[in-house]
Amino acid sequence: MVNKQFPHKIIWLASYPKSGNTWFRAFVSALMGASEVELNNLKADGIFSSRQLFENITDISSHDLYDDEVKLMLPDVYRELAATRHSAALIKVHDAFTRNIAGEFIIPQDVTHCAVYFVRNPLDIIASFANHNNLTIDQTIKTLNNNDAYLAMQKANLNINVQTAQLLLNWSNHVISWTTLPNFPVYVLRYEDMLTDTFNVFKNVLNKIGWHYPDEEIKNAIAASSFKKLSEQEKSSGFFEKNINSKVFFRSGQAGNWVNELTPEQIARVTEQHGEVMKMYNYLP
Amino acid sequence: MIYKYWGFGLHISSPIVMPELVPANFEQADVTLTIGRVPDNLNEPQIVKRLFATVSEQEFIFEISNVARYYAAGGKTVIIEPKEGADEHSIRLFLLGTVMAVILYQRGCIPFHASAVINKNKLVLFAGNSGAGKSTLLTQMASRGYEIFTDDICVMTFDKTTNQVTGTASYPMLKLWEDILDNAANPASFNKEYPVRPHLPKYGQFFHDNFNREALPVSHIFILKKGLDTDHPAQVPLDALTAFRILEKQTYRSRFAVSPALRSLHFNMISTLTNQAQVVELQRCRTSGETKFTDLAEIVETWL
Repeated sequence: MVNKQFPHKIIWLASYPKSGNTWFRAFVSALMGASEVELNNLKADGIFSSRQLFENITDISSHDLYDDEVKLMLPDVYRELAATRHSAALIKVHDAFTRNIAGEFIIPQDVTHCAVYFVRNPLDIIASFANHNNLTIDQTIKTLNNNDAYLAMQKANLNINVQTAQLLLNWSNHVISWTTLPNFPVYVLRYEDMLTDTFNVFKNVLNKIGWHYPDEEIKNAIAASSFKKLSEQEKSSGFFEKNINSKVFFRSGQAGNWVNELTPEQIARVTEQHGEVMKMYNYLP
Repeated sequence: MIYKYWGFGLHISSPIVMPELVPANFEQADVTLTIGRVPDNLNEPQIVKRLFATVSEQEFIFEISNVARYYAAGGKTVIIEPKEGADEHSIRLFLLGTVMAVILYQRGCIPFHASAVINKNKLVLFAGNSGAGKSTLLTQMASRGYEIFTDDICVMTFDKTTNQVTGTASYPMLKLWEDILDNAANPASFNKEYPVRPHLPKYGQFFHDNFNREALPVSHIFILKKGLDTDHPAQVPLDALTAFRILEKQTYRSRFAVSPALRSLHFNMISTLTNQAQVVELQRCRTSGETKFTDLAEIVETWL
């Protein structure tokens, strides 16, 4: 089985939130043997910021640790995880590719096989991310523009979220950190290409990872993980990754809908700050 | 200076003040804590290596970077080697959690990851992972008039003569996050004088004046779980087989229970518990806040 490849290594599925990460995990889940995708039981190995995974490996409750301490331990936690694996571990990560206070990258490069980085037009991320956090469009633009932005960071250092805090940086720096700093291969997928040319984009990235599946199996997995199917499943049985403050995780999944969602002034606030990186991915209006 | 305390059903002597525990008088300590140099390796040959710990049947080394290294042996001895600049609150937090759990294992006792209140002279346990809301539900039960028995760890003992499982309290301190204190219906009954670590907004609430050290039989166990999106918390009474499977996982730091004798004791204890106690899974809504825990406390009461 190809999914038994790359023992003791990790494949990171990295992205800024709401950029296609969950869709790809659902696709891989379908590909790895599940004929029907179970949204609440995706065949990936968790998220980098999972407190449960951290505690299973360290025997320490991360609720009792400072965020700096958690970040110091994370590289060893994932080295340990990789060491116990007989096939590659697939780990979702929203953290930017940054260093801890000891100067070490929080992602351990020595046990990494590769990363797939999902990038999406920030103008489309905004309404989706606003829905995810139950925040306004303006508040969400502030987050995308804020280089100190965190996901799951709680007020006054409360440690009660199910995930540890994830430093996102601003949107541009998130992209730059993952696409320029790692010393391992990072395969970048544009969300917009995933939508318009799903089969070729997915097949191509599988080949780059080193997973060679027959076309038929890839097509079946794409069908089993379609946005419509995932969205219907969320409606019928919920999705535990949905933020408690939002109504739905799978909202519209479209590209280019920002023209109906943002005002010219809001668009300008995004393009002024992120124009350079947006241009690299052909996202400038 | 040596300080003498009661905690986890044991007489503990300590070179450091431990306000969490109950001052006690005794001749012979069950457990002696010392400050000193932790050995680099264990003496016993059969060891299990974990990322930050090494464990054998009767020995244990554990390290929390920036805080301390700990050595526990024979169920009787703990050596603490503080890291430079470490504060005593942090040193005690990990000592009174993982390290004491291992001491209990070494003595043939099972620390259960559960909080408890007393109802009709029996124990009602609230089990669940860290962050499941055990302590918060405890405060809700207390505000309904139930006596708090223990927070976070309950020491379980299997009594062969009566074929019953009893629980003993760990120590009289409840650990609560600041948001729970601030939003409590009776905030005046809590204080923020004792942070469990200097930069963590989680505060110890002592109940030394109303603390029960007796071993009491367990009548109910509620497993707290964060549910999916529902408006109403779910309650599911568990059959014996499901209860066994879930209770098995509620043992505190069970990876450190490495002796075959302990595993057999653990098996017998859980089997007995599933027959002895009503086990109910409580699914919390995925929203937090005072009212939701009030709902849970109401549900718990209907089972008692």
